[in-house]
Amino acid sequence: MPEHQITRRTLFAGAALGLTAATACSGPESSSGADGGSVDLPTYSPVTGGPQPDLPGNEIVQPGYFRSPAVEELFTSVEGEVGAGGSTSALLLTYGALPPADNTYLPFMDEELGTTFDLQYVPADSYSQKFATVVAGGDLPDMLAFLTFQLPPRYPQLLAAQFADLSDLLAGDAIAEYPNLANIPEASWVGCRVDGRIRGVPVHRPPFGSILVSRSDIIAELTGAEPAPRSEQDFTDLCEAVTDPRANRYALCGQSGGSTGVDWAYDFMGAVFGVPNGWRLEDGKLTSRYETDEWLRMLAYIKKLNDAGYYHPDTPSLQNAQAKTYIANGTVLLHLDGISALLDTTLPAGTSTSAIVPFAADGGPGTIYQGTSSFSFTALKKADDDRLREQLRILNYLAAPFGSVENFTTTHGREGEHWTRTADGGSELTEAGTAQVTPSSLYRLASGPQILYSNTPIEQQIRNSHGWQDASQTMLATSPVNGLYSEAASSSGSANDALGGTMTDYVLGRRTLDEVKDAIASWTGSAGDAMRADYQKALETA
Amino acid sequence: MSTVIRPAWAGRPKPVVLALKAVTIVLVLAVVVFPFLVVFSTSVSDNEAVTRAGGFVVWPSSLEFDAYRQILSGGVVTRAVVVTAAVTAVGTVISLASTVLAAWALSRPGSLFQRPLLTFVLVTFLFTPGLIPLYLVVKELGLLDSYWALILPSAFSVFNMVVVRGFMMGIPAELLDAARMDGAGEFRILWQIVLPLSRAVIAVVGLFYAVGYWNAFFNALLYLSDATRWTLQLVLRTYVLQGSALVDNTADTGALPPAQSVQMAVVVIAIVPILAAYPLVQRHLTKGVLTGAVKG
Repeated sequence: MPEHQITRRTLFAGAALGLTAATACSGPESSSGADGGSVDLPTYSPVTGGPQPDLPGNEIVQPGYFRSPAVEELFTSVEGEVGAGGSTSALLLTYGALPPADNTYLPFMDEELGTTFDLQYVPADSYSQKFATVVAGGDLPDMLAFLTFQLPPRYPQLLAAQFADLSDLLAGDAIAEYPNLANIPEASWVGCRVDGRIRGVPVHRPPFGSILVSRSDIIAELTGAEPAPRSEQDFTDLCEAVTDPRANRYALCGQSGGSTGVDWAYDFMGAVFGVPNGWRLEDGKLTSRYETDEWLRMLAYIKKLNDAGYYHPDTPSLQNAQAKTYIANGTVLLHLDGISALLDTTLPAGTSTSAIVPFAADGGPGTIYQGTSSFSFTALKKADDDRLREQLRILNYLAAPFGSVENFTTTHGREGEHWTRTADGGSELTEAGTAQVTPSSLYRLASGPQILYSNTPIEQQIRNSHGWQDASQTMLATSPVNGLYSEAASSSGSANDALGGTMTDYVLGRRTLDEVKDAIASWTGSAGDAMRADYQKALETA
Repeated sequence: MSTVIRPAWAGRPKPVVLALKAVTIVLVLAVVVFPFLVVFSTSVSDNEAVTRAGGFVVWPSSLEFDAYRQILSGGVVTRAVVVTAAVTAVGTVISLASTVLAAWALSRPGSLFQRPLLTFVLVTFLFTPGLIPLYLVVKELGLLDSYWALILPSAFSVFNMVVVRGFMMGIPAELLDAARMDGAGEFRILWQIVLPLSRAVIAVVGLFYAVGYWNAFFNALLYLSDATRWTLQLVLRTYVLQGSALVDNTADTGALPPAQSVQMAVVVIAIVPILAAYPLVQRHLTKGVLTGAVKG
């Protein structure tokens, strides 16, 4: 029944077409921004009230809390009226189950914020398609999230054509009007400044890109010490010491997916070998990570590890969820994942994970790639200033920091219905609260800086994550093209796939290093040069 | 045991052959049944057992129905079951009606505009509408946020029509002429002669449509913004997706990581109705498809 289904291919073709159509009519405003230079990023001014963290944080390291503050200790972070009584529509991405049909939490939040939320939920893996149709259909919601790891093609033009320019309301010291938004670190705002103008409000994440999660408990058991490799040789030795195929135990695994098709933990290994974070800027000239000698040395090292049997043999087809399971049951001891993986609350009792502190192959200081420091940014539909101010006040409320009344209200709902007090002065979500509060996903629109805290008691995990962040905070390597847009990059999918396939073939022993070099040369020809030109131009105008 | 009727020339099969056949059948059966067993076993195991087994449980050590409880509580899934069942029922009826009528008209040379209409319909085989144009059409028709958006855009399948038409073309013209001589009109012929003869193919095409409606999730995602109207597959997908990373490692989940048992319970809930319906139409399947295929 061929007509009955929409194939993936048509879908993406359609999605791309839709965005092009929606931005084609954007007119002269579209690729501007350069005319007046870039506006300042919103000034960072941390909110000082609130409970003292058990583990201190700063702009880079997340503060850690082992328990939620007592209800009496909460401080007020928002003064005055929030919403003006109208409605607020939004498209919300969700990774989880939907809130139940008899959701009483949202009406409660409507009352609290003085606006009626009209929310559309979209499962995460279909977000880009739904996004494309909503934009093409012309009925934009008031708030729309742009995912920083999945920005649609030609998004600067789209933003300029259909979304509000928030520069006058947020840039520089203007943000002081919204103290909770000013509490979001500057690095997170970089991606919101598009073509020199502030186009959205970021949802904060710690600046660390991917980390190498480790089962430090098992490694310590096998080697007698917590894993702390300081050089290429140390790391090889570590892999050798813990791998035992007969016991179905492998030092590390990659996973399928991502821009390279199969990810052999490239981001971690790359940093070890001095590969730049995406691009290297030297004397005003950009070099892609693929075009560096360090990249080839790293590939050769990965091949060496794989030849020795240290990678889990399923790597080329391994899904992230399965890799997490392998980490949980000790089949794999090292895996590249997001930093939130360290707060996994479903680990079997008695097990714990940590992460490898970055190091350099030659024993020198380590580096870790800095990510976008945000999950997404929320753009607002064009409207008059009063309306935009109201919307920003709503986002300001939702972005209230941990320990504030507003944050507590957003994460707990109404007392007695969604949460109850515990004997020690703390709070506990009721069954209704668990089913309604988080699944309602309001935190996707805006939220305070992410901290280390979990309702489930996982103190050791919080300590591990904090310890790792503390040790790695000085090792961040930024990307020179962070926050810049390249049209060529958004259509480089097939070139990346081809190169990624060749590299995987090389690691698996099906191709030679010379063939990889040829593949890199053809990647440069088909995508790299165009991307370089785009970024170079963006760098000059920035 | 029933008596096996063999042709006169075939001797009694040797025990070895019989044993080999039996082993083969058991093996094939095992290959088919094993995945179902794993899916079911995993769905009734707790998180720890799943992790210990490396993601998939072959034989459950205990029966835990937590995964099912988690999915079925809150009323979202039960509501979606009702929605999906209704859409499947109404949709299948509409689809079958339009397909049978079109196939009948287009299978009779000499019907009004038979040639051009047939060409017009078949041309759509060559082009699939893109996502955005489809969305815009549905929007302009005012079907957004309506259950009709789940039915009308996919109500008529040219492929299925060709199958039915092929079958109908095989019905001897003499039969229809005889009916006409007796004074039957076109609709009467269709209703009393053609339809009873086409039961097999209609059952098969009906099954195609029903399975299509039952499994469709993307229409609902695109056209329905109100999540309380979502279909079963779309709701169930949110469970499968739970905790999964999107792209690279940059995505975070904000929700609990995947509970494999929940995902497998989702699979069970999603396939049971189809599994139950299949045997009822199975006997028509081979005949129906072959007829359409050879004579289409």
